[in-house]
Amino acid sequence: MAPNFEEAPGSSKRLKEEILYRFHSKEGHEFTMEKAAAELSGVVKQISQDLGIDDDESIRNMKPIPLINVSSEAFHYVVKWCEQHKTMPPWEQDKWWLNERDEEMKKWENEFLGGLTSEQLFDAANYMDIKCLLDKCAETVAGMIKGKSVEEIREIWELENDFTPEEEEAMK
Amino acid sequence: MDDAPDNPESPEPAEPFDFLDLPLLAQEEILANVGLIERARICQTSKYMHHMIEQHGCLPEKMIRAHVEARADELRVSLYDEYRDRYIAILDKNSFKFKMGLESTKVWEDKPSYETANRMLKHVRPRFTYFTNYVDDMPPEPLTKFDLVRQSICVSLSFICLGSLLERMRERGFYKTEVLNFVWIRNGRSCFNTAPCKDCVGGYEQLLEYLPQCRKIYLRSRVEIDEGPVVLGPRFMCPWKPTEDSILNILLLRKKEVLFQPKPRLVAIDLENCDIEGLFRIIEKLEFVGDPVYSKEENMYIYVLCRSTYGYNAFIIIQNFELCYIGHHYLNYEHMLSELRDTNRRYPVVCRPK
Repeated sequence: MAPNFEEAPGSSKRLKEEILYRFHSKEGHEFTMEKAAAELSGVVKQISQDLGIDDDESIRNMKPIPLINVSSEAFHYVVKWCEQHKTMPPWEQDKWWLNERDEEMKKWENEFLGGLTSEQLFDAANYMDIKCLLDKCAETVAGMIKGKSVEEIREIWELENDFTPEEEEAMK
Repeated sequence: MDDAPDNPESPEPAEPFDFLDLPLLAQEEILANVGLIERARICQTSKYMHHMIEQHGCLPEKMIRAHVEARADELRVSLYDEYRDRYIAILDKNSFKFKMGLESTKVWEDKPSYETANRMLKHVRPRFTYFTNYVDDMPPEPLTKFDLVRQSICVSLSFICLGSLLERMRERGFYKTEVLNFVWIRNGRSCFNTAPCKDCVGGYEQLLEYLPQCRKIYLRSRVEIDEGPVVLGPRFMCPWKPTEDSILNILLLRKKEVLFQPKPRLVAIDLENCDIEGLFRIIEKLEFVGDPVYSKEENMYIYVLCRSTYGYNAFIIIQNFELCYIGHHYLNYEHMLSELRDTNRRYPVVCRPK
């Protein structure tokens, strides 16, 4: 079932007191994201830096950041991810994964990613430069093909076999 | 699609999707996370994927399997710890996984999970005592933290090899008082075994934390090596594949004033992802260059730990210009032996496996 973006945690109906970044998705929906969550995104940090946004008031007065490659649905999940991880220390690859997440968080991540289609989330994570989400998505998608045959991998990843019969024979 | 479902154990998107629609960065991230066998299979799915996998250094499965089956005994020897007279790890030719530990019953999975790493802990820990014994004021069992174990598993073959070497150095009584140079030349994606370089970075850095007299030299880029100062200490990741020439520049020519002052008694060089032919060419050049730093008279030790392009580790140790062949690169095994024999004409060669 598609999420209701008007009711979503990242929707613009958030409390005014919070320090929120505003975003426009590809479809034109407006979303908000709490400062700490939004700053998990390298793009948000870069834009803020480029625009000289260095205080809360400036963030409040910022125009919505247009995310022309991020669908509303994908952004909805990005918001959820970022809000769940907003209290985490800065991303530091393995140290972060290994040391900073408790079991509850890991369970949440697995559950969260368990039912998602990967393309949109990857696109969003990539476009918004959210390292922790990108890394987790990659791990998840890699896990899809563990123990699978060549043919199964083709099916799962929708790859077209463009080898000639001779080439294929040579590989067997 | 609603929020978190009730009971999934692991994240596994159910629907197929078009891999090729993903951003290139995402594709690379995914491929960096898949295991050796999966890489070999991905190779056979399409030409594009074959190309992508080649970028990550893997061969078609049939080649790997054929070599493993043909050389199972040799493989076993390759991971033999001659110092302690026991096997450290055995490559299981059926599962293609390393079995590690004294009993060799535990499986070194492609990318150790939390649970696997915990299972491995008791097998890996004895190896770490190599390091805990070196320095008196080292806290007991400092290397048993989970994160270090996990990371170290990813580098454990060269890690173990270095441990063995250092133990022998300690026996000779000069480890504590001598300067150890550890030159780590690495490619950003050198770990064949699905571990992205972040694992090795962490593992090595923490290893080096326990070598307090080791001057850590990380080389970040060709530009720095050729034109700028060699960077001493701490963290660098290197999206750069070393070339023979650049390695030689480091070892012998341009930067020795940085690398070798004060003159060390031991240089440990980890040539990750350097192919074995290249390594031998380097060794040959060492002879031709004849740099006195490496002369027998000066009691110079050079240890080279090589992680091969194709995945399985080869360890070459040069001690007083004796080549001690501890491991081997099984895909090029015959070639390597041939090279060793050639090299033997110039250097006294001790060749293992037995």
